Amino acid sequence: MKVSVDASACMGHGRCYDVAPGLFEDDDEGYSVVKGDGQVPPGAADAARLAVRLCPERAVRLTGLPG
Amino acid sequence: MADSRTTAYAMLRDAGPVLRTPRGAYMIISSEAAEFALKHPALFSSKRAFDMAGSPLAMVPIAFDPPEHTRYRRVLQPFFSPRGTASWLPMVRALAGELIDGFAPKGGCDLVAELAVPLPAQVFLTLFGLPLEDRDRLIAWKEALVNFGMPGGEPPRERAVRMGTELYGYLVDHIARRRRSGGTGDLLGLLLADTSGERLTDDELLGLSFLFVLAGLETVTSALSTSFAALAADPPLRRRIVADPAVIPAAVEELLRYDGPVVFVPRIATQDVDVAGHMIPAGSYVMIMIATAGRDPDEHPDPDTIDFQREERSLAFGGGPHRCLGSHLARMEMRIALEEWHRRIPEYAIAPGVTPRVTWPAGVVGIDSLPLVFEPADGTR
Repeated sequence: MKVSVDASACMGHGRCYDVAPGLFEDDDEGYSVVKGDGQVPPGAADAARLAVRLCPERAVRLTGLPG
Repeated sequence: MADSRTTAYAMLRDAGPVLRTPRGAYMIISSEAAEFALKHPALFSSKRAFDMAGSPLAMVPIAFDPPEHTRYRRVLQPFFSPRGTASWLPMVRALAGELIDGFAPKGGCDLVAELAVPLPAQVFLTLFGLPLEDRDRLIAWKEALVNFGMPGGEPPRERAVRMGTELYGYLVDHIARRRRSGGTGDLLGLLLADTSGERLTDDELLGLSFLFVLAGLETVTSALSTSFAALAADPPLRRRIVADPAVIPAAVEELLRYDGPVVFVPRIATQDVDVAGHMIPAGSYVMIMIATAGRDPDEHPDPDTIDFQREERSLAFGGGPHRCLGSHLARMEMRIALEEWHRRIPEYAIAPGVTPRVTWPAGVVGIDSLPLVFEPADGTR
């Protein structure tokens, strides 16, 4: 399972890196950047789903199967 | 509306996703339709949508559309991002602590007059390098401008323009002075010191300052007033905060969804546009109803209940390219006010016999006066 951020849709609300700091970080302007290759480690699946749910721009995506 | 936003918002919700007002404006009520409008600035323009706010100059950046707007945001965003605002956190915490320590020993306060109004005003003065003695003058200008059009003596439009002109003159003088004196110890200094090709002109900085006073102060004041009113009226809710301050960021999001200050954001339709089956004609004044979007059961089950455990997207700070630039600063001010208060004053109640009411209609929704009573705290926490 991998997370990604649609950079053209991200408006810098900061919800994803607030609730899932292990998966996302902010750049200088507050836009979200996926950490590493976006692979969701075991135990972080809930945080990833929460980041998807909270994004007001629906810019966070989750692809692939759990595990 | 004055007594119960829940009743007012439920009535609008029942009217459907889009409502034409008797004066020919359009309210976009459902969360889905509001999200659509926010994310299509080419259909719903911000230019001219803010003409009524009494500003003698176009407010940067809200009264602009892309691509001009895009440039403003690119320049401003680093200063208002979580990284940009993190350095102001100790200042905000110190200001909040001082204000609360000032009234904690009394065993009571007017939450609005003694915390919700002065905190964001002092944060603004500090960020712009203005003397704290100017606080009450600044508050008077801001109140005249945000509440113009409300019942009162002189014609509201004239008063708003006069107060707008005074505030304008004050800010012009200050920016000119700071242009000469330099210094990068605050936000204005950093903006003035920007040497990038896209840096803001003095006129643009004025527009931003104006917006900051009008949008940045009243919104935080109002949000603090309604948040504390909700917490004071609901002991189990505030005890969750006292027992686990880590819940405060989620509480801030939920309190903003439930009773946030921004009822709507205005736009002008640029062409005939169909929204949820309703035709909105070109040129219409459109109110994107942030408040009712937050109470939409399709997005927020059981929407009229406050629940810090919610994990739902919220449009409290808008969305699309005009997402509130100050959202990270506003969240920080709210979070710190709640932290510093509950650390010192865990138990409190609305003063007996008082029913908190909001002023309505108004630019933003907030409680005018919120007398709270509590056990006197010695201020040394």
